[in-house]
Amino acid sequence: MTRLDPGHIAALVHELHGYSLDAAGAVRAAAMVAGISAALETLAAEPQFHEEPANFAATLVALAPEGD
Amino acid sequence: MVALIDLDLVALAEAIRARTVSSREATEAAFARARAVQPVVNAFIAIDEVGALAAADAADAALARGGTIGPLHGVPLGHKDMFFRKGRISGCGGAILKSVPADRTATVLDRLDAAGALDIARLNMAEFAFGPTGHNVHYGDCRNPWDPARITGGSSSGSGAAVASRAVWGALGSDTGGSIRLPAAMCGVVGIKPTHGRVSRNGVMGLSFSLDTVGPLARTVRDAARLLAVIAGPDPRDATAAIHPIGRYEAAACAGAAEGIAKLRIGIPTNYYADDLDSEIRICWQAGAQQMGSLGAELVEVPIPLHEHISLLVNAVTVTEGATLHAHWMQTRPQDYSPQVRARIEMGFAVSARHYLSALTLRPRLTREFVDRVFEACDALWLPALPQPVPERAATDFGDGPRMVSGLAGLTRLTRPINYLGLPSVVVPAGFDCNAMPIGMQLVGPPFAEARLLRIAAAFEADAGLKSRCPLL
Repeated sequence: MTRLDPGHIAALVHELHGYSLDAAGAVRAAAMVAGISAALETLAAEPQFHEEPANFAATLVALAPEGD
Repeated sequence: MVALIDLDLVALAEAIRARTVSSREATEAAFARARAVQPVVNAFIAIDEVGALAAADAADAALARGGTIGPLHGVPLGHKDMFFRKGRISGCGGAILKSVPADRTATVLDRLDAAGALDIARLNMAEFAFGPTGHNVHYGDCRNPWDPARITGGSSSGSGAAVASRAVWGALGSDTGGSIRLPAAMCGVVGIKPTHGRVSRNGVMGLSFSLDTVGPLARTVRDAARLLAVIAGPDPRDATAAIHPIGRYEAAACAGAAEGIAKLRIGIPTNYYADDLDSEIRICWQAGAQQMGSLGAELVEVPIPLHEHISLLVNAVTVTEGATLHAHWMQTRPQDYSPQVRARIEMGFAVSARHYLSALTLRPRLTREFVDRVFEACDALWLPALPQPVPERAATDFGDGPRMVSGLAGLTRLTRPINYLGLPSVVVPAGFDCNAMPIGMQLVGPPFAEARLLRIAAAFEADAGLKSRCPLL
């Protein structure tokens, strides 16, 4: 996903959240979502069956160096 | 004789304990200084003179009676106006909460109270902590004490400016993408962004609960270490507060200042944090690295993995969680937000659940990969906190205009990936630019290695000889 239609994004936001993006806001949102999508296409190409957000806290503890 | 306001926090606490200075004298000195600097820096939202003087007198009376004395007994502090105290109004930098008393007291305030600290003022901040510059349309811009035409950095703008102005001896801030580290760097003070979960967020206004951290800003590394030791630790009122043991932060800072950092490996990034730096920042960063080499540290070059992507994932998390928290007000009273904050929050309405959850699901793996690769090669990273000299307020008053996204992203480029990775970071003053504005550098380490970072920062601080410098207000 390299480009998104700002008009579609504005319509979706209005439909789902009852909030109206103006033209500039829709362009900003579309650009941001396209960037996030591109990053995820690179980083999350494979299913992540063994990960979930709740693992993060335990990951930090597991990575903590001993003796610090 | 050293003026009272020129004592650092540790020295003041020791003077109060020894009864060579009273808490009332310190508090009156803080008020006098605050009154003098406020017209220039606009760091204060409110000062509680009556309550603070009563608390100071109580602290002095308790000391006269003898008994147990906390590590911050009688020391005046002020905090970013988003740490709730039951019955008190904290506006969080915005218009909507300006008349709403808090229904709880933040755990960190309870802990500072128990350590004997005085909470004398509520400090300016970016609206709902959503901004890295210090601009605020509701309370007025916070201005840098080194040059009021320049920004303080944000969102803990008042914390950085009040500490740098020597109007309080320390302050709490919060850091979601750089909000402690940027004002620390731009105002020339020390700031600690702890490991995610190291400090309780109970009773603290949330911006992005997956990324928010609470930490201190102070004049010296040891001062900041003492404050962190008081506020860190598990909290039954915050399920995300880590149970992991607290380090001996102040002892580590003292050891670093006294013994140095021989045999530690300091990582110097070869990309991302080394890219697109202003020449003055690059020179200061490299000189700081050489300085640590001269202190006995081994300098090692370290490639930084995945950061261009991580920068985008931070945005996915921040704006989505921000939009979730603010959805009702955004729908019912959007006019009560500044155009810039409204424009930033509303982007979160466009992020899909899959994108948001993918960004969070990737976080454990990307953090493991980063920590394994980077901290196998070094003990801590030495990084710039800001890629450019402290900019002028006028030049960064982006509003919701066409330069907003790139301008704000540029200011947080070197800080926000660390929030996604959940890692600790300490900002320490490292020099001055040609405009006589401070330059701050950040040390980043593996999870819960705050003591290690404080040791290194204290060694650097002791050698750099910058901590006696303060703005001429």
